[in-house]
Order: sequence, then structure tokens, then C-alpha cells
Amino acid sequence: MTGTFGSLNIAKTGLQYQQIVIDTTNNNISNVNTDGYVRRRAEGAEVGGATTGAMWSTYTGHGEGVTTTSVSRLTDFLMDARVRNEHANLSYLQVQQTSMERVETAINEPSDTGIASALSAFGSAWQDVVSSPDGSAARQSVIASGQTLAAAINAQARAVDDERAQQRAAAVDDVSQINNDAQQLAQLNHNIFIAQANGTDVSDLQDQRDQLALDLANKAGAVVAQDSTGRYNISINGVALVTGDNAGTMTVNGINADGTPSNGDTANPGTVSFSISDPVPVGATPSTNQTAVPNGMGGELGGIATLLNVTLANYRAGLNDVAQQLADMVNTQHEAGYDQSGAAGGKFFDYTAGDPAGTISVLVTDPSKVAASSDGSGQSNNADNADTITQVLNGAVGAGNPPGTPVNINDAYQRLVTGLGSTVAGLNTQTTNQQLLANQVDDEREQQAGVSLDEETINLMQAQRAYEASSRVLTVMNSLLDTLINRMGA
Amino acid sequence: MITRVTQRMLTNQSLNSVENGLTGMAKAQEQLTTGKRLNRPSDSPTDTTVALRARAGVAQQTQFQRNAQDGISWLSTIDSTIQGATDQVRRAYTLAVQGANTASNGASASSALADEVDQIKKSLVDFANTQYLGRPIFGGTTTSGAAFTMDSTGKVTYTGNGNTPAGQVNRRVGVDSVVRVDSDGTKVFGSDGSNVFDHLTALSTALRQVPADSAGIEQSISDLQADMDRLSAAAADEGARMNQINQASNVASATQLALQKTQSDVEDVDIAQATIEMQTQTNAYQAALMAVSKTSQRSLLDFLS
Repeated sequence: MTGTFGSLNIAKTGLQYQQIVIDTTNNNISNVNTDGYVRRRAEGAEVGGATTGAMWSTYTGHGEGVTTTSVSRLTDFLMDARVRNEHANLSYLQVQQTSMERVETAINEPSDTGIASALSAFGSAWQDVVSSPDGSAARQSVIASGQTLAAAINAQARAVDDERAQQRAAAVDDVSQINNDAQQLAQLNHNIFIAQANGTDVSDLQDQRDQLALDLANKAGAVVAQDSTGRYNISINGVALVTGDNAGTMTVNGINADGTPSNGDTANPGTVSFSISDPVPVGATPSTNQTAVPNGMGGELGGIATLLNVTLANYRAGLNDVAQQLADMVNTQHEAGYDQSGAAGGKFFDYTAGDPAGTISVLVTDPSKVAASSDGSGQSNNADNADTITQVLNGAVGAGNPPGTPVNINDAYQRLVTGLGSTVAGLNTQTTNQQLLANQVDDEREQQAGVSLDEETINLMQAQRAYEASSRVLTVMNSLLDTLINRMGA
Repeated sequence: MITRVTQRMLTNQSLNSVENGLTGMAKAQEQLTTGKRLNRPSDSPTDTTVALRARAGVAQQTQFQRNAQDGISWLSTIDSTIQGATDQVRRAYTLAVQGANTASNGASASSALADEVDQIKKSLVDFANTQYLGRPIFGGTTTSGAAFTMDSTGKVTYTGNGNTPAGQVNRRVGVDSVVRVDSDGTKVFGSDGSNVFDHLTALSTALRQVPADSAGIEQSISDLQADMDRLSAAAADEGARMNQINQASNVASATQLALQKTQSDVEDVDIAQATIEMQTQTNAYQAALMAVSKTSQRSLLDFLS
């Protein structure tokens, strides 16, 4: 049997608890659209008497009201891990897809203005020289169409180089954000641990930390493991970035801080790799001990690495091959012929070794120097060599296309374009699928952690009614006490 | 199973479905406005190969037709020139026969015949040096502008190079089909030393002799007969090549059409299908918009007072 005034205390705990429920609901409603917000729930627990009765005493009460044990964050570490994983995969694909779509647009095939058309026009121009080898009109137009072709190849090479420059800049930017995130996350690990020890509500800090972890997953496919103290340990493809309160620093190798390649050669920028220094306490000088991140990183940075090291590099190399084959083929065949004065032909195309696609240009400027003839007398309108050049371009065997491994330049270029098309088509499909998967896990997470306004409204009504009832208890108690104190005796 | 639905889920879903609807519409619109199904390689990598090949093929066949057209012009010029030359040689032949019959008629009559023969020779040299676009049609690839040259003594020699392999004027009218479009002057007018011009000179000389050299005239008659035979053989040869080039041109134009159809099949949009697709996408988009407008306006709060 509790004291008379004990009942007032029970009502008080009810009022306090319902107040907390209302505040929690209020907070949930306020943050309904906040990114990364996880809904909270005020966990109530009944207050009983002493569970272990003191010697010689018995507890005669029937419950002492309610208390708020905690405000729980309704999330699930495994679910969050899945969200991070799927989003990392999505970022990995998306960054590649958007980049390759840009390249694909720049390539502009099939069209009347791409390299394939320029190649056809170049072949036709040589046939026109066959028809009128005298005069300079046809010869001039063969030079002009050669220049158009070279310009089309240059433009495509430049488009790939520009895309690579953009991706390098993005990589530098991403790495600096990753380092920033890592510092913040290590700091939060520390703060959450301390605050929790003090008994402070750390839900908002945990929300922030989960956001950072998601950002790191998006940026670099970071994987989170929780240690026994509740701290997040972050690793990128197996290499530790954050361990407890310590954060490492990521460095990108092969790219300067301004986004230019380390070797200074935009046409052959070399491969890009990443390494992470050993984690040190926040604010300390980064360790000089670096660990290389193995290939196969996920997230945006992984996508960028794949683009720079594989996809774009391979396309550019393929374009170089086409340009070099074209130039060598035409040059050799051109050198086998004779110009209008009967002198042996020189090189038709010029290029710098190492970057044929970026530097290919037409060397012949004088129409009379076009070696269309197979007759070296200088007194001939023979144009057999011009015809052979067309044939060689189409894959026929000739001086420019030695037997054994004859090359059809049109086919070589078509293969390159189709290969790119397949890559982009593959990326499109994968990205669409991954988008669905990411939406799915987002939905699942939202089901668990999202704020439902209807639900909160009901919680609010429930708490309101409970608060009213508790208040009512106070009124009743007041009336009881009034009866007891004022109406008795006398 | 969806156990708990939040406003945010609905908003995200609405956003996704509206975005999907718009993407579909944009795709359908792109196809309709560009008229192309294949706007970039990734739209269909295999069709891209076909399209690129077809485009290259169309360009090549177009060029073959251009080449054939040029070749036909060459051969037509040769054809009419040989016709004209044959007429001239036939006239000389008639004169020779006349000369043989009328040799006894007197020196002045024979001399008149000889004058006409000289005229015929001059005009025949003009025929032999006929040009097409500035190039002698019987001179091979010579740059001198003349296939035959007459020296001060009246001797006509072949100065072209149509009788050498490097002197041939060829036109490519198919992938593996090359047609010669000039004629070797020596095959038309005879080799140096015994060409039609030498025979005309001999005829003229025989006619001018007093008394007329009837043996020489007889020789000229048989020589000119041989010249006419050679001319008709040359005309037949030219005709055969004309046939060949015409046929190649027809093949090229048929191939071009077939390739254009292939290109159109893989590149161009089927308007009816694209219009229906556009309509379908528009409907889907409208449905998504309607769903958004219906779901996003209600909440429990609307029903509480």
C-alpha cells in the first residue's frame, strides 16, 4: 500500500512519459523529409516496486507508473550495410554510364559526319583522282578529304582526352571529399562513444555518421564494420581508412592536384591507382606509411578508375591503332606511286608516334605531289596507284597492305565503334537494374526507418489521450484529497 | 512484402514513375523527331555494324556509278569517233576504187581524187586526236594532248601510250571489276609504218603519178579494206566494253538500292510503330502523374477534426 500522495507521483510519471512521446513524435514529424533521418521511438517501461525486497519488508504496491528507458533509433545495421552496398554499386555504374554516354555522343556514329563517313569520302576522293588525274581539282579534293578525315580522328581523340581530364578532376575531388568524410567520421566515432558514456542521446550524431558512411560507400564502395564499442571501422577494398578514432588519408597516384596526369602526357596519361596512409588520430600529421588499394574498388572512384585505366584507355588505344594503320597504309602505298612530275610519292599522312589519333594530319599540300600514278615517266595521266589506295583502304592486298595480315580499315573502325556501343548498352542495362535494386533496398530501409505521418498522427493522438487521462487522474486525486482533507472531521 | 508505407516512400515512388514516364517519352520523341531508331551505337550495337557497313557500301556503290558514268562518256566519245573515222576511210576506199577505174581518164581527174584523199587524211588525224575532257581518247595516259602527230613530211606516228600496260585508262565499276575506257590508237588506226594514214598517203601518191600507179592503187584498196576491218573490230571491242560498263553500272545501282534499304531498315524508325509507342508512353506518363496527384493529397490529418 503506497502513500496517499504516491498516486499523484504515478500520474506525474504518466504525464512526463506522454510529454516525451509527444516530443519524439514532434521531432519525427519535423524531420519527415530530412535525408538520413531515422525515426525514433520513446521506449516506455513500467516502474514496479523494489524487485529484490529488503529483509523483513514486503512491497505492497501495484506498480509505480512509467519511465522512459530510452529513445530508440529504429534502424538495422545489416539493412544499412545493404543500402550502402547497393548504392556503392549504383555509383560505380552510374559514373561510368554518364561518362561513356558523353563519349558516345561525341563519337557521333552512325552519321554523315563521323569518321566512318570521312573514310568513305576519302576513298571516293581517290577514285575521283582516277577519273581526272590531270588538273589539280581532284587532287586538291583528295588532300581536303584527307584533312577532313584527320580532323575527324583528332576530334574524337580529343573528346576521349577531354573526358579523361574531366574524370581525373572528379577523382581528385572525390579523394578530397573521402578524406574529409574520414576525418569527420573518426571524430564522430569519438564523440558518440564519449556522449553515450555520459548518457546523452546520440541519435542525431548516429544519423550523421550513417550519412557519412553512405557517402563513403557512394564515393569509394567503403565497407563498414562495427566494433564492440559501437565505433565504425571503415575499409576501402580491404584497406583500412578509419579505425576507431583514427582516420587515414587517401592519395591518388597518377594524377596531380590540378587534375593533370602525373606524367604530363594527356594522350598517354598512364594508370591511376589509390593508396591510403595508416590511420592516425584526427588532426595529427598523416602517416607516411601507405597501403595501396587493390584494383576492383567500388563506388564512384572505382568507376572512375575503371574508366581511366580500362574503358577510355582501351578506346583511345583502339583509335590510335586505327589512325596509325590508316596512316601507315596510305603512306606506304602513296610512296609506291609517283606524283605528277614523275617523282616517287612521299608520305601522305603525318603523325607523332605514341599519339597517332591525336596528331594525324595530312603532309601533302601541293596537289601535284599526290602520287596517283604508277608510271614514273612524269608524262602520264596514269592513276593506277590512286585506285590501289582505294582498294587497299578496303582491305585489298597491296604495297600498303602486305599479304598475310591484310587490314580493312573500315572494319577495324566499325569494330571499335560497335565495341563501344556494346559497352554503353551493357552499362545502360546494368545501371537500370542496379537502380531498381537500389530503389528496392531504399524502400526496405524506408519501411523500417522512415517517418509515416499517419502513424505519427496516431501516436500523437494516443499520447494526447493518455496525457489527458493522466491529467484526469490528477483531478480525481485532487478531488479525493479534497474530500479527505476538507470534508472529513469537524 | 510491404509492411509499413511512409509518405516518403510514396513520394520516391511517384518521382521514379514520373521520371520513368518522362524518360520513355523522351526516347519515343527522339525517335519520332530524328526519324532514326539508331541514334547512337548503344541503341543497338549489332545494328550499328550493319548501318556502318551499309553506309560504307552505299558510298562505294555511288562512286562505282560515278566511275561508270565517266567511263560511259569516254566510250561514247570513242564510239562516235570510230563511226566518223570509218565513214572517212570508207569514202577514201570509194575514191580508191574510183581511181582504179578512172586512172585512164587523165591526170587532172586523178589529181582531184588525190586532193580529196589528202583532205580525208587530215580530218582522220583530227578524229584520231579527239579529246574527252582534254585528254586524247586514243592516246592512253599521255599528257601531250595528242595521240597521233603528223611531221613536216606528212608522216603520222602514234605518240600516245595506249599500247603499253601503264597507258591504259581504267575505271573501277565494281569491287573486282575494272573496265578499260580508252582505246589503243594503234589498234584503231594501225601500227606506225602501216597505219591508215600511211595507206592514205600511199593512195594519194599513187593517184598523183602520171600515169597512175594502178598497182599502188590496188594495194591501197586492199590496205584500206583491212583498215575498215580494224575499225569495225575496234568498234566491236568498244561496244563490248560499253555493255560491260552499263551492266556494272546497273549492278552498282541495284546494290546501292539494296544497301540503302538495309541502312533504312536498321536506322530509320517505323513511323506507325513510333507513333503508337509515343502514345503508349504519353499514356503511361499521364497515368503516373494522375497517381501522384491522387496519392499525395491525402493523409489522416484530412479526416481528423
